[in-house]
Amino acid sequence: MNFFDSCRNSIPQDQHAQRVDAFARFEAAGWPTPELESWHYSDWSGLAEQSFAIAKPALDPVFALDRAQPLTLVALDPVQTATHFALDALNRAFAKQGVDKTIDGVANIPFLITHALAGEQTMRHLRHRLALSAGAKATVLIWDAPGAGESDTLLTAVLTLTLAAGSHLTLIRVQDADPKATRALHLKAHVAADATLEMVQLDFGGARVRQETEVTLAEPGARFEQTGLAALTGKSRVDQRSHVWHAAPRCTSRSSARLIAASTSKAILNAKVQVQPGAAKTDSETRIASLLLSDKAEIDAKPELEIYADDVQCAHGATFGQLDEDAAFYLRSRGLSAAEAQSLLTQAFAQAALDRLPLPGLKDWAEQRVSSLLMASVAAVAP
Amino acid sequence: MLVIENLHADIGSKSILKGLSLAVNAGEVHAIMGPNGAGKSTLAKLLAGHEDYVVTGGTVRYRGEDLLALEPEVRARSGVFLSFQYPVEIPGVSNTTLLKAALNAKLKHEDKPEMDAGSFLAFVKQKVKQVAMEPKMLQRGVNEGFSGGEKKRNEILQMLVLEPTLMLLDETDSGLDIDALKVVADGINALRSPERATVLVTHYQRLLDYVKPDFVHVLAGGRIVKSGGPELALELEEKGYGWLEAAA
Repeated sequence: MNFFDSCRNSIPQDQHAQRVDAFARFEAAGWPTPELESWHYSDWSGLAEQSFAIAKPALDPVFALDRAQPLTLVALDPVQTATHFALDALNRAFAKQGVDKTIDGVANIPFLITHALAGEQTMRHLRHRLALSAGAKATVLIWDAPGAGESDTLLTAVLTLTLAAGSHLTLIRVQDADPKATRALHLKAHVAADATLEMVQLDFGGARVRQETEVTLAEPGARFEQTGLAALTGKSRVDQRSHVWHAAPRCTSRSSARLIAASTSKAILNAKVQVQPGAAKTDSETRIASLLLSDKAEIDAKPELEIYADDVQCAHGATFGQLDEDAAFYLRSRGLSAAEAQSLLTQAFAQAALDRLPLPGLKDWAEQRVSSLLMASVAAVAP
Repeated sequence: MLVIENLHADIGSKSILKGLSLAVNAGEVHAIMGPNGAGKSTLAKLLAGHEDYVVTGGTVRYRGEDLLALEPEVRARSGVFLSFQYPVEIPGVSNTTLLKAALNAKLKHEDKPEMDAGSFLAFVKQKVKQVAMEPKMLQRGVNEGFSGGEKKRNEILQMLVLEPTLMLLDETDSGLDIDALKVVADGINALRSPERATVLVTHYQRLLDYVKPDFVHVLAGGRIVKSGGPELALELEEKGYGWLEAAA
């Protein structure tokens, strides 16, 4: 309890009871380990040895581009069973900031939510709530890149999205945290009739990253499209779970992920689609393509499909690719070294995901980031 | 410039080249013709450094150097260019990226400074025009979604940009309509010079109407079985390869 006590001053008095309760639940559950079925490939028990201080608010973690949004103290929603129960409890114990916003109409400028921290062994816990009114349209960028002197930090965030009929949200998440960072993000989305949630997720860093995406296509015509790219080097571990519920007829979901693991990194993706009874004319496709760049790297890719309705069109698949030798020879026959050829082809593998980035400036940045990550890891193994 | 002596090569356990000899001097254009399966493409790819082919005997010297000892990229930087029979599609790597990387690799090899972005683009655009392609193709993936003819034009474009010393063209004429064939031939002729040499591997005589060879060789059964002047190509067109295969 000392851990929580050291931080309780920063929590409003009237929330102490439920915060104390949440922290007790976190302590009882402990950091997740592979003993939990949904944590088969990740072990965070080592974090029990560490302590984190609440990050000083010097670096304001949350703001929006359309002028400063007043930060509201996030009211805690009722406890639900979360697959990362302990992390949810931890977030509840400490979360006191987050973007709480309803977007009406068409927002031309993207909203920015930064998840950066500063300092060593600091932590931050955020709880966001975003709602799009009927017919609204917006782009939101969640940005997580190392802040000043950041090292060994912990961030948990819960993001609840509600998309009303006919709305369209493009959500981009960029995670390029420092190599010792721990990140746990939980996204829950409810998509109404003819609304579209489009997501692009990029993961480049972090020591322990857990991303959970839960999307309910609740009404006819709802649509979910997600594109993911994990390009990992060093000792990064990125563990992602996505669960899409087709709960109404004529909904569409598209999931496409590219996983690249170099050095001793590890990428995990479990992408599940569940078609519930009555969700006729469901159209769903899940594709995961993986590329291992080192003997010591690991990728665990698992697409899952559960269908409880008739008259649906569902496809899923996972491929493990080696780099195309003919393409490598072609590039070498033009004067590129074997390492350059490998780097370019790996970049090309990632490009399919990067091409989905709607913001040109961000796309340029991401292309360069992937290029430098891969160049470094390829150079390390080149003969 | 290129001296091949008694070359033997296998792919897997199959012997393809069985004592091939050929000498190509600067300024010359040689056509290598022959039936399917004679080893024409093997020769072209082997010279470019493809790892599937294992040399079991003989030598290849390029400008006095042991070509076989060089990595594919070093051969390319030293001026050996292979126009592929089946150019590979590489989505995600743009034509510009490839051209720039290839040209810079060559310039670096020659201890010359890299071209600045502006000059490079102007230089490449002029070459694109030369092969009658749209400049916007530069932004597309290498050969991505290109028709057969576009792929061959793209090979010629790369050749024009890299200005190689030894041009190896593997069935560059196959599958081309007459307009594309002319573009390809113009590209080859544009680079023809006393300092350069060309080896055209072809099944048909058609390309030779546009690119006049100095020598024509017939490759059959893994060896050069007959050599002659341009008139040999016409004779082959008329008689086919049967009579030579029987002789081989």
